[in-house]
Amino acid sequence: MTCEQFREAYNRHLDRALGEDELPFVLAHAQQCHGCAVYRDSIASLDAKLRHLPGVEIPARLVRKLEEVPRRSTPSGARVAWSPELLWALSFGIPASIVFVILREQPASFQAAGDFLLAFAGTLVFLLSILRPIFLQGLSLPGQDRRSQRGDAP
Amino acid sequence: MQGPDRRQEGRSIDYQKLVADFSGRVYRQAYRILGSRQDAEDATQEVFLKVYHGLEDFRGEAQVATWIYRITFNVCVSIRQKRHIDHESLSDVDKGSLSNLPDPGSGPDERLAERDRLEQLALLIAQLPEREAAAITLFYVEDKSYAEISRILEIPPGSVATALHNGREHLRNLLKKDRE
Repeated sequence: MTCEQFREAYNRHLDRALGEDELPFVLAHAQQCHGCAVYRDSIASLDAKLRHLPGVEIPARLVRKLEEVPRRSTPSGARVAWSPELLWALSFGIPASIVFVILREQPASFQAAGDFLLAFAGTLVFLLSILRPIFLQGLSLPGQDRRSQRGDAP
Repeated sequence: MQGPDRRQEGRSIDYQKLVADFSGRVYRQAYRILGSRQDAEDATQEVFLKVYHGLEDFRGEAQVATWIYRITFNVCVSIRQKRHIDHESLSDVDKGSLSNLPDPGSGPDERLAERDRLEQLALLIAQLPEREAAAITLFYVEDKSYAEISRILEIPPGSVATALHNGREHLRNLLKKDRE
């Protein structure tokens, strides 16, 4: 066994990766080679110290900060606040605003158009309320589907 | 088996539980690799931000622990590169405190001195190249096997052995240089 092989094998011994039957041969080399005996003592001493490194405690205020992460950040999955409230607001708000503005600005000449728009807006609101569950599902899924198709691992 | 519940498993992981289970380990690993409490705090915050954003995508193909340790390693590497941490030299303070410590004994003062000595040795780990520092920390502090370290650092098990051996060799040289 060469000194190089001894060092490699002794390191594996420290890593608990050396076969028990190999150890006597390795140690026999150190008995014959003063340099390797010195190396063995110093590396074994270092190994013992590394096994007794002092513990490190995480500061409590850091743990509190970490627990607050969900409150302070928007997860990638909820990239847009397409909340039901927002959808309802859009469903009612936009058509109602259009009708209100047109009827207010042009009460006489556009009365017929206003009636038409009112009916149109009502239909739109009705349709949106029916399609709302599909809408919500459709808005939340595409990102996830793309990721699963790509097979991304986090 | 690529069961239908894989993605569900990822989404069902409780973030608060991960903080409770892993924040200490992440901080400890980051501190050992970076050698500074402030950097370790920054790293830990960045890791958990990434964990939080990645939870939905996590599909349980890797163990949660492996995944989090891998993020920690990558974040630490990135912080070290930003900070340009010098792998070769120790600060004067570190050198002085290491060489002036007395030999360990059995009394309370000696035990305190020995603890300081070990703490200084721990700081030397932060002077190692990233991969060696991570391998040493995962092996000695987190008690991980070659196979686990291999998965975390995404290197073959043989390279884990090399990183550990080189890491010990570098530490031995740093200690020797320090005593001279």
